[in-house]
Amino acid sequence: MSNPRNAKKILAAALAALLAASCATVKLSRMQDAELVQAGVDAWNAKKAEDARPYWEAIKDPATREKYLSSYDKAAELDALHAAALAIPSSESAKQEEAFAGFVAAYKAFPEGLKLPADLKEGLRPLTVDVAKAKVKAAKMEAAEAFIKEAVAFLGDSPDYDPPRREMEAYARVQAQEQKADKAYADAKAVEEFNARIAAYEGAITAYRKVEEASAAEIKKLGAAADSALAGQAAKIKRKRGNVRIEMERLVRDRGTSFKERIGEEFARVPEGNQVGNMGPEDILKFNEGIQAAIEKQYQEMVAFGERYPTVIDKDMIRDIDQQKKALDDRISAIAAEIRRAKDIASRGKAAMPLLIGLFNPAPGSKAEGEKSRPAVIRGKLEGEAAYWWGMVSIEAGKMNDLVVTLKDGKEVQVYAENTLSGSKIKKNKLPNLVSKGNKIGNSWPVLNAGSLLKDGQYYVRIMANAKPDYAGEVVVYSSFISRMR
Amino acid sequence: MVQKNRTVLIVAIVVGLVALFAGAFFLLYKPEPKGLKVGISTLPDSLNPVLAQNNVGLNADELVFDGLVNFEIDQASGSLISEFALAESITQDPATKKTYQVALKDVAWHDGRKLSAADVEFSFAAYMEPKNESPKRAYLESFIESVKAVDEQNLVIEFRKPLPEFRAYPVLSFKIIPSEYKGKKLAADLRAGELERQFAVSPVGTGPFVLDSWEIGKWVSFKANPTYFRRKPAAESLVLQNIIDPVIRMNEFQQKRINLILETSPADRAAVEKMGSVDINSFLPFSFYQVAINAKAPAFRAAAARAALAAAVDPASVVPGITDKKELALVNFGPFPSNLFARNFADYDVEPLRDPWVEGEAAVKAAVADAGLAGKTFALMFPDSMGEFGQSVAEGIAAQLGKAGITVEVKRTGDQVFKRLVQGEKSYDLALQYCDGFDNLYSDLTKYYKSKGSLNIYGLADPELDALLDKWDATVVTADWIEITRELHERICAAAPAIPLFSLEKDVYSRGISNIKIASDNPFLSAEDWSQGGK
Repeated sequence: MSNPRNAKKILAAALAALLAASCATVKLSRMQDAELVQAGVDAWNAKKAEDARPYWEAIKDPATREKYLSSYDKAAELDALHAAALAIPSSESAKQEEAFAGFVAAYKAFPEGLKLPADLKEGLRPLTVDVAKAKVKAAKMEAAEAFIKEAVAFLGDSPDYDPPRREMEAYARVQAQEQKADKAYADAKAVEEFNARIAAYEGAITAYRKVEEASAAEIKKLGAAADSALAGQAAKIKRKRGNVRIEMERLVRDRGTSFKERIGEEFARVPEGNQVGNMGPEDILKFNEGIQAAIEKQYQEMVAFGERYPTVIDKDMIRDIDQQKKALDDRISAIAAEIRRAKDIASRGKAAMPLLIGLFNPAPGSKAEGEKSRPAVIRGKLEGEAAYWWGMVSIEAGKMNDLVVTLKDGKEVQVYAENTLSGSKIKKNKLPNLVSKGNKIGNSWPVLNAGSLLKDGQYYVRIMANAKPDYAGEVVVYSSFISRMR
Repeated sequence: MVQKNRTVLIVAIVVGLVALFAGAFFLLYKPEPKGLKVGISTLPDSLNPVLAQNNVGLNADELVFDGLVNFEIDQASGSLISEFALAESITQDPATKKTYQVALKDVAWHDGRKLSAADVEFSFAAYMEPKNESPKRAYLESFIESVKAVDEQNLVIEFRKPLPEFRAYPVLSFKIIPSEYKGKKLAADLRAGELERQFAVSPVGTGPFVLDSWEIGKWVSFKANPTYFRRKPAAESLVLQNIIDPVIRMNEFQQKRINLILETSPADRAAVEKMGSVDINSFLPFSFYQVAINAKAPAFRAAAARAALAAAVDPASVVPGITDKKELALVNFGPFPSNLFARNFADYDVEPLRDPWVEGEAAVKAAVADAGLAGKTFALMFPDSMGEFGQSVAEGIAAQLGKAGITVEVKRTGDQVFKRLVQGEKSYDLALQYCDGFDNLYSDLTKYYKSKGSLNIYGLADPELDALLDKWDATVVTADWIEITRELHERICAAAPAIPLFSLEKDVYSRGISNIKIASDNPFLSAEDWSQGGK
């Protein structure tokens, strides 16, 4: 059983408390909303957050009351965002940046006048430094600068931002120099004169090298890591310099090859238009000497070029051209010797051009340069019963090459190994027609094993008349191929 | 009464059986086709020109298929000439001399479908398909880089090197097959599926004759293609009649039941001339006789022993009256006929192949003794189909080897037994061979002398020789080809897989055929000109 005296005391205390509470309720109900807000704010800012709750709960305006009562949840949310942001590893800078933005937005939405713990904001500064460094490392300099600005606006400035700022400044200095080198390269490409162009390329390469040096100095000064933006920038510049050098060397090489090609073209040049078939012996010699002079000019240019760029015009190329020159000299010597027999030549008929042909090779500048030979051209108008042409072949001993005369129409073609004196010797000396009748197809008249049959290296063509006086065709030397038949 | 009933029952059964057999006979019996009949010992093994075929199959291709260019017989000279076939025109690019433009004729396949450039492109792809193991692949690939259809009627052929027309056209004689068959696309791998296999035995071509019927072991018949682009064949039909025995074949010919005999013996000539009304076409074929030596036989394992055998035989003296007559026989001394260069490169003045064998009776006897062959006995087999001439050749060889101190027993066997023992089991000492079906350059010699060659019955297995044969097969420049051919000649002679004998002029007998001209191993080149009638 309880003591009746104690029971009285408890009852008295309860009544007192009830009275006090009743008085407090009466007091709050008499306060204005502004007073209630301020009283709550004072309690919150005095770090007695729960003491603020009765004041804010007594606010009559529902929106105001909700605004302040939500502070508890918002403060908890900020704590959570803060903790979540700090939990993101620095290797995931995009997530860090996103978390920081979320925190800033939540922070700005927190009711004004209410204080939050000072370390809540400041604690995120290392995170912002990580984000700024990551952007710099990725060479996103503008983005890095904007982010630092945003962080400073929220957190206030700090020496912590100095390292990324210094790298950004260094990057910008190198970039400015790089742009100058780029311009030097672009200008070089526009130069027309070859040597000046190559010199301009050299200038651009030098400019890039200087930028590389400047970049290396910056890297050394800042102690930038191997995977930093500055290191990446240095590698890019080095690559550019390499590419410019490759391009320049290609230009030089192409130039060198072009000499060979031009000489090859000149070697195979044929007289134009109706000169073919209308050239006298002296004209032929003159024509070939003209080729010789043109080749010599090209050759001297090439030699000069080779002295300037010794790695491009190598010994092999000089040797090839020398061989070609020698072949031309031999050709001219042979022609000159022939021309000395002018009376004989005059009796041979018209000269097919080029006068001396070898194995047909359609690809100018190909590896088989020594074999290059274009067809000898025959063209004219028949007067009388036949037309007579002659030419020379150069076929290596033991090569079973075939010579084929092809006309554009069906006129009969005969081929002889010696001068027929306009046909007069054919019957008298029983000269054999060398055309292989069994292999004659269409308007093609083949002489098999021409290298052996044309012992003096000369061929004599007789074109028999038909209804049409005009004729045109060519003489070609082909490799001999097998034919399987059954 | 019981006896009477039994008799009635027996009669009824007999009548029933007779009726049953008669019915079966009428159902199963296929009357022999009529037409120009060619008696041959073997029927084609396939009619797909892309794949490897036997000699008859190769010949029959000529009836069914065409190339862009066909070889034809020049009626005046009797020599082979190339003529545009499926190609309307073939034009060389004057600048490169490697590119040829081909326009096709307006030609229909036997099934009515129009020939297109896609068919030509497909055909080339089929020849190039490694799975087909086409004998023409290496040759074509060495010449041709690509075949591309431009549109329905036109295509571009890119050769690997500049080539004059007279060299290019023969290359373009490869047979064109359809890209579609029975309404479906054929696969380039012509061994792949059922459709492709059907094509090999029931082909569709553009040639002068259409396959009509194929009775296994009996005949293959063809009927004239009325829309053939040259002209409708003069004969309505042509039959390849299988008659294995040469005596029966000759008897059928004498009885005028067959019109043409392609496989003949020089010994028959006199008898045939007496028959009267017989046309005889004679030519030197791309073929030869030799005696295969089984290198797996203990006595012949050493190349020196095989070489001693080859040295001991003088081919010209084997059959007096035939092999010693220069107008009939060409004596050979190696794997190639001795006129190989002279026949193919007459204009090139090429030194002939060397005769490598020791000469003189004493030297031969010494070689035989050194090889341990003296006093030994060996069997020389030859097949029935070689007939009396085979007997004479075998006996002639036996006599010569006898003089050198080697006893040889001549054994004549049935063709099937010969095939089984020599080609199948390779259980023989010496075997007389008639090697035919070659082109002018004997390209198929690879089959005889490669380690895994389908006709290598000699036991040769030399990887270096295999490599040289492959190189030879892919070589197309004349000078190079001649050089490698010389190497092959020397190398094969050193291995001495066979006793070289001779090539003999071949007689082809025909009767009841007009306009027949046969000048090569391919008898059907101008078969569309043949007509029933004549002598």
